[in-house]
Amino acid sequence: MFEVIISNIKKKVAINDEEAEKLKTFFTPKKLRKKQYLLQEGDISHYTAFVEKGLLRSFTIDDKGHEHIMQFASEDWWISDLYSFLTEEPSDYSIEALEETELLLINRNDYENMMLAVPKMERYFRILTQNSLISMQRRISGKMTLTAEQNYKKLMEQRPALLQRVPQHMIASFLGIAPETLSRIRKQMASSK
Amino acid sequence: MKSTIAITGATNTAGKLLSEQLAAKGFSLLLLSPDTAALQAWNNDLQEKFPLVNIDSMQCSYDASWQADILVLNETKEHVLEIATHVKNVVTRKPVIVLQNNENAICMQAIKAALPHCNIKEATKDNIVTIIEVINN
Repeated sequence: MFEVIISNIKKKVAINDEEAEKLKTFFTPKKLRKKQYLLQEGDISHYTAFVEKGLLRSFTIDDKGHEHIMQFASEDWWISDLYSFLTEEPSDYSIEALEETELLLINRNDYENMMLAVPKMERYFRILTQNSLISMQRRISGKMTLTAEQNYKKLMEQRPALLQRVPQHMIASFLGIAPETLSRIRKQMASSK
Repeated sequence: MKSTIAITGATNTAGKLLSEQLAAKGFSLLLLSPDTAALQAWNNDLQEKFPLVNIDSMQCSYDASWQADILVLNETKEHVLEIATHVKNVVTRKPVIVLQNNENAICMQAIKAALPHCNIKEATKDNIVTIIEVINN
């Protein structure tokens, strides 16, 4: 139940067995069935979640009823609405399980208490935040400077396994393009091989 | 979003009363009982009465407690520790509510010792719904 998270933490900071055992007491195990929600738009995101197994998406719905996918989180990823989690304001996002999913949840209080109990976790979360800022910056600049085809190719390189697990219309939504555009790109790529 | 609540002993008198009250308030329910025929019948009755509420009967208390946000232990003194120990690893930091019945009081110290990292509360049939609503909010 904790294999993936402990190995994820150990890749960034050196923790011993005693610290690992201590960390385990701060997380709430939660299993979601496919299509169940971890968070619904308008609710406060009380938890941030680590994915031990499965796949989720976070998305928002615009005034015209179109879904926009912000993030896919599979094994070894964290997911939450950080803004809502840290400010306790209602979230603009929903988080839904796309497969049967096993999560480890941590609430705001326990998040702080965990860092007091195991101070190395401050460093762990700093590294996570850095990585997340970099990837967000790259995603925005990709959206501004690259073509839809280039963005799709980048996603294929970075997360090939994800493309096998998620329907095409969700990939299009994540890239911010129409499903028809993605379908055309895929056809062009197939015919130019 | 309404919490998902796992209830053991869901087909005895106290379990039926509680599951009906919680379904009426729109909580998602995971019902548990060793009597699978009675469990299925009660699940069907409740679902018919509350068609929009998520109600499921489960065979395994470990899996139900893993899916749940809140666990209600509606058990006899003889069985409660056995179940608490069985689900221990999937209820860390979750609210666990021990439903007391007057004739057969459960020792809260023993439950707290078995589940050291849970938020354990004691309830009676008269205050349990209020306690759950407070936790949900």
